[in-house]
Amino acid sequence: MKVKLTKQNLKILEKGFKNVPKTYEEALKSGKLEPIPKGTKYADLIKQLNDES
Amino acid sequence: MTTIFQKFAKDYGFACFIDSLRILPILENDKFTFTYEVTGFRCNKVDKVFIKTVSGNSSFTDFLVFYQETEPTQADTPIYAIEETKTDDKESRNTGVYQRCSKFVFIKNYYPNVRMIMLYNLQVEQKEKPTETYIFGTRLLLTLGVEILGKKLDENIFKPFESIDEIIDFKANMRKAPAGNVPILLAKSSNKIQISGRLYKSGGLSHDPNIGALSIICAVLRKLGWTKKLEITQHGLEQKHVGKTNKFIQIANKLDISLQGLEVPQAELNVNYWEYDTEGEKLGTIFIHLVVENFTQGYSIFENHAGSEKGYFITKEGDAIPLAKYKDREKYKAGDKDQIIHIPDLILIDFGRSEVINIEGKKYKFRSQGIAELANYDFIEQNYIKKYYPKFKILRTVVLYGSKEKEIIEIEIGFLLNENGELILGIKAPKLFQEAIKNLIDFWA
Repeated sequence: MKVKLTKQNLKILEKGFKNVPKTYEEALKSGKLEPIPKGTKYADLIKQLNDES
Repeated sequence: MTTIFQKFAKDYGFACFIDSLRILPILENDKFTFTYEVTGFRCNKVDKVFIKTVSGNSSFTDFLVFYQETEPTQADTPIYAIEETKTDDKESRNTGVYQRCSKFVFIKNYYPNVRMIMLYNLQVEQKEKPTETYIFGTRLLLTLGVEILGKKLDENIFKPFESIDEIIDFKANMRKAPAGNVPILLAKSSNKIQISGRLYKSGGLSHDPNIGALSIICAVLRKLGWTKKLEITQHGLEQKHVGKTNKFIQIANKLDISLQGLEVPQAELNVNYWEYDTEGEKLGTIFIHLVVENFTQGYSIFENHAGSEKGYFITKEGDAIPLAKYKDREKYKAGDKDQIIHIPDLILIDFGRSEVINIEGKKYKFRSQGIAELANYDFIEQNYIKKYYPKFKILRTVVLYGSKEKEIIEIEIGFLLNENGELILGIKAPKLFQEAIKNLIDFWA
């Protein structure tokens, strides 16, 4: 089933999406974490966290 | 999670530190263990924090927190039962606060002494004056012993009720229900309190807001010492609607509530309050979501995992924006299914490859349905995604959970997490999935 393109539907969608980040940099600034660097092992991550504390 | 950790540290008097929290799927021998580890929380009294997906057998709170050495079993008692909501008073108006009340009443059947928490995830101060209904509902929660977290409440307004008469008076002075509706009103006599409220809806005992409201009112009356009869009037029910597995009947048994003109049957309560989820489609979509966010530059721009609260977008400023599910809610309720706006369960963005991935989650046995659902995304793609991400390619894919299958035949399926925890990429899986799974396996190798 397809949803009809009505003004009301467009308004609903506009409202929902207007502030999502458009770039990766924006996404990071909005509070998302950097991904775990490629090649990092579990033990490396835990050690890094412990070293920081 | 940060709020929960802070609460835990404060309650137990432990020195804890919270960095950036991550939820990492744990693999053993390249298979998902169906357990996530939380990193970024450090406390010398807590070795590790794990998350597992569970489902409730009836009215179930969103989170149970256990503080113990071993994996929780039914025999263990959680330290917290937490109901999380992203909905504030402005949106939910009259029903939101009540709908959650029955969960806190219900859980007392299993864990009479658990600490109950209502966690507001919006973390924004209310700008408008709270509604009377919201004040009433919240004060009932506070009286029942529920703690409110994540939201600033005016202590002069939001305080527990101290007496039964105070509750009756407060309710009597609230704005009356619209003409034609049955108002919730309390009438106290020497040997009983009668509470009016409609419980009948859609052919049965399923009026959720009133189930919540009446449940908590009765629970609070009992807590404040009322030992005599509690009777619901004007409920609209017939005897045939009153099933012994209905959650309100279970609560009615526990609190000794009667229904005027009807006999309340002896309830059949599930032995277990919860069980580990081994069936839900969300096991697949949550997994891929977390793997992508932790191990690639991909990112969720929308999520509505099955059974979860309605999807929201969090703005850069921290505001939550609701996305309606229906074009016209009333028409939908009246049976017009065309009013549904089809939205994916998860939308991921792959910045590196300039791709947006619309994901439909399904159980393996319903994969054909999932593939068919992909055809419904024209509207959202044409009218939003292409507008806001004009240079991005849009992919549609299905993510499955279930079965013991070790390969996927259908090209529309991007990923399968099977019951054994095996991670199976589709023939034409999005590159983002391929990268995420590869990095996850390397991480645990």
